[in-house]
Amino acid sequence: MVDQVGIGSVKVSDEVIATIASVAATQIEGVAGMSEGIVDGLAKIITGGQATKGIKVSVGEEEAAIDISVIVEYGYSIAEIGRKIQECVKNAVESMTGLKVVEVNVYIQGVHLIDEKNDEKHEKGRKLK
Amino acid sequence: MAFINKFGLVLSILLLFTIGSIGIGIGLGLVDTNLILTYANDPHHKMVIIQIGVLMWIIGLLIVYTSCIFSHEEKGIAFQNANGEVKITRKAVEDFIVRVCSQEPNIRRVKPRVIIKKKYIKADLVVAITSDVPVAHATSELQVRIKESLEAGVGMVSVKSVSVRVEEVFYTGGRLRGVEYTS
Repeated sequence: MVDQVGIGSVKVSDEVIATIASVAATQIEGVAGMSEGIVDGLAKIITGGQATKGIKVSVGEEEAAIDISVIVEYGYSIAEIGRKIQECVKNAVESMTGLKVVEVNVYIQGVHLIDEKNDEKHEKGRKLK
Repeated sequence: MAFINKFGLVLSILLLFTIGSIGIGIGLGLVDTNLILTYANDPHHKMVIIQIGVLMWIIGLLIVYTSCIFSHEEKGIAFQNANGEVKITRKAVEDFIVRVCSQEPNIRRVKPRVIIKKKYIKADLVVAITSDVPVAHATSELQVRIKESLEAGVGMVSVKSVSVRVEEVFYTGGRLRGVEYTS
């Protein structure tokens, strides 16, 4: 980040940006949660750290690009949720860090399904072939 | 076509292992190169080697043809805007279909498969339904519901077809339609 007061540099870690993006995304109505992919799981195993679930951040000196994977709720327009996530994450990261967000790529990985236990009652009944 | 690609992949892996093993064998002196040359120089064996080579060429061309020429399936529906890209994975679309079907009282189970092309999507469903409605009625309503829900719920997509295959019927009690019961 830019040295704004002339006494040293300020750096914002990728984790911070990922956390801001994650909070901004999950506060949007229609977002069920973040989606953890295989890469996130492997990253946790290898680094032993807490990789922010479903978020990948690329940060330069003054710019950032964010990839975000989410699960959405049923009943909302998925495309519209994607657009809202892009806007909210961009605004949140820019206002809190001062970085310019060049792109927010959203990957809708799934739709939140109802609990399997609720389906057991539907399984009663003889099967006919 | 997917089978040809998978078969080609398996064959390629086997071939690579075979060539690699022969190379290691020659390098370590485990394989007698004179034996290979003697085998290859035999006129009868030459025909076999040529035929194997031609077969491998044909398989290779088939794999290239199916991979490149045929329009491939997309892994998701993607659209770009000023802020980046929004991509909806095939799994998300299939989950969406499962949710739509869960709201249909006559559909007990559904296994969707979505094929995504650049300009449209196609949905193939395998369903289990209840016996209290005629199959034709239940499936035609489901097709319309899925198409409308996908176009409204996912957005940016045109649904070309919704194919339904009924694999099971759950008997829910009572008389079956069209069956004459003798008391």
